[in-house]
Amino acid sequence: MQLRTEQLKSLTPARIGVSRSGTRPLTSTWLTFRADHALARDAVHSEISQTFLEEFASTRQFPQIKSTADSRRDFILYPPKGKRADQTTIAQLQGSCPSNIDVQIVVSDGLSALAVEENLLDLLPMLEYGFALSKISIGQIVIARYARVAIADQIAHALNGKIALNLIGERPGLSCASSLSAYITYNPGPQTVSSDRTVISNIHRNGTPATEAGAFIVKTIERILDKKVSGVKLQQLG
Amino acid sequence: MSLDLTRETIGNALISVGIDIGTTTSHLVVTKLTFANASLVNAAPNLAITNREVIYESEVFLTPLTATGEIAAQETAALIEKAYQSIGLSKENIDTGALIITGQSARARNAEEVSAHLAKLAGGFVVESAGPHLESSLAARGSQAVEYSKRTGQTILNIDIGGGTSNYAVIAQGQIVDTACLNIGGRMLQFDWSQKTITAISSSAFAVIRVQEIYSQLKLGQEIQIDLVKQLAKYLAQSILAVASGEQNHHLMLTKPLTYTQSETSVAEIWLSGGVASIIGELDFTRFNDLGVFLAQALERQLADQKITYKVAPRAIRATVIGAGLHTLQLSGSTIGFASENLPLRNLKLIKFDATSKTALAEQIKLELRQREHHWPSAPVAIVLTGITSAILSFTFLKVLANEIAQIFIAEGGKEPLVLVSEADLAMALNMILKGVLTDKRIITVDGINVAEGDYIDIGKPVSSSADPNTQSLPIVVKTLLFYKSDK
Repeated sequence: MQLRTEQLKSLTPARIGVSRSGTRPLTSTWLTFRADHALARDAVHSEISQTFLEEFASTRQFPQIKSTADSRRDFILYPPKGKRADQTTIAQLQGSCPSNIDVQIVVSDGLSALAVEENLLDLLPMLEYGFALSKISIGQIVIARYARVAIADQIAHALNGKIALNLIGERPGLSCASSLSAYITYNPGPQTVSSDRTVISNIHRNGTPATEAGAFIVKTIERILDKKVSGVKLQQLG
Repeated sequence: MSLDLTRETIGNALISVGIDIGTTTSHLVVTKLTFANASLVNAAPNLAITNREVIYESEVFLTPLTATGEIAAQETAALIEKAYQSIGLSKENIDTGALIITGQSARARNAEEVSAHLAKLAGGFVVESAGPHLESSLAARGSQAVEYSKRTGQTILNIDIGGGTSNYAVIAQGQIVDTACLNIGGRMLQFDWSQKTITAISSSAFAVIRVQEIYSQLKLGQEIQIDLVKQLAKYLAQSILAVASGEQNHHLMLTKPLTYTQSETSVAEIWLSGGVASIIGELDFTRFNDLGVFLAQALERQLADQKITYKVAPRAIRATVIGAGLHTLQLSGSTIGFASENLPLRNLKLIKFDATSKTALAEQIKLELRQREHHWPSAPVAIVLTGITSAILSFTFLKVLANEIAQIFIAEGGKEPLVLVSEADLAMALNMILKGVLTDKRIITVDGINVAEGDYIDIGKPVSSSADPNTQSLPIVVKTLLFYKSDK
């Protein structure tokens, strides 16, 4: 019976076969739960680290912006603030970044800064390599803090990009706190709604590896550029 | 009965055929495989086989033999062709499948000739003679022991007792971990009940008679002495069970003995399959003109005496051929790289590269090419990438890998397409990087394929689910040596 429980547990990251002592969970179960929960909470509250910003973003001269939220706490408590950057920020980007590009890439902390730090080092080079090979122009990559999905649509619209690609940290679960998603919008703008976006989720070491996800994002964007639609409309094409 | 196999009816399903040319009998099954995306919503797609349906099972017919005991290639092919015609099956309808030559016939001198005859009928699909190891695995898959073990986590010993051989497979948590083969089966002796005489004695039966002198009265054309035959059957049944519990030196072993008894895995259930297992409980010796019923009875007796609990598999008969038709196929991941016009590819030699080894990729590949006696400029190979864990899989790693692969491919003048196979999820990325390096070469990369065991690979045309034609996977068959050589 022991063997069978182990076998079943090996098939899923879900919390099964955790056992109990009387009406309470076992101490080990409880501690694991607390540890995973703490990791998830930390991911939500954490900022993209200074080291990462300096080593990764500054050396490549990626512009770093903030949403209209003032702080991480403000962003968590008032989610709508994460959807937009203010006009000054947008104007600055318009002044410094190339426009009329195929794909505008925005890297957002979202609900897990950890996801950005763990996946970007493999994901971004793969995207750059793949887009260059397919002759798809990407302009300047923007790093956005306290940011939600829609911010990429606003930035891409301002820079007249055909496609907005937001690489954003997913809301952490209890089995993984470093999962990244790619949200892709064709013809992004103020009119964009959720169903306009194509999503590729679960990008992390035990999901779709970052490099493989990068190649898949390039292929998906090639198709979106060809069909000139994204989101549900793309799915409906079959 | 005629099967409706038009594209409109089949849709996105695959038609797979399994043909078993056995020592005594042969038959075929037709199965339909359907697919669906098994991935999480919004995650990168991943196609999986969702249904395997046996849509036709042929009659079991006696394998035609020549006067010298070889398989009569032409007659056998004609019988298979007749079965095809009876259901309106032609090679154009068949997407994949396996032809296996099992039991003692696998060692028939003309296995190659038989394969050649049947290959024309089989279209482009897999043709191979099963060695005892493959046959054991196929039987365990066909008997449903593998599926049961996977579902329950139990360790199962499946013993498939056929006409010529008994095939053992140990399955732990759905993985076949050990196989062995014993040269004992129901057709070792053949009788003519009307004349009450012995009409055929197999070479393995002669071997027993030589070792166990008491059977020396068993001679060709002699009258059947029931008591003596029962005694022989008892000895054979004891042998089958002795090997099951780990006997090391049985003189009728065709492979190395089972080793699972030395490991920590303890077998929870013993399953019996094969023709002899399917007639356990039969009382009438004369029902078949061979040793089958005697052996089945002796086996039942021995199992009871030794207090061994066992189950006759739900799919006892035809386990091997069903296993061949259903389970030799693997489906690749859905983020891969290929161009349909380069497919299908058949019988590519597998050249292995181990990422954990300190030896450079070029050296490993050169050594493998030499050992497999392969001239790369004349025929493409499939390079298998093993040992790539999520810990080492990075963009930099793939870029270095791609450059090394490109260099050796150019240096050796390798024949296109360049084919790469891996278990780790990297095929689409590797394909993209390689395209940047080898801009004008045809490159096929697939992942999600377990090639731990195997020497050759077939890659079929892409399949997709009906819900999402954009999610495509490649059906892949990994094969062992085309013509079996004994490991003893």
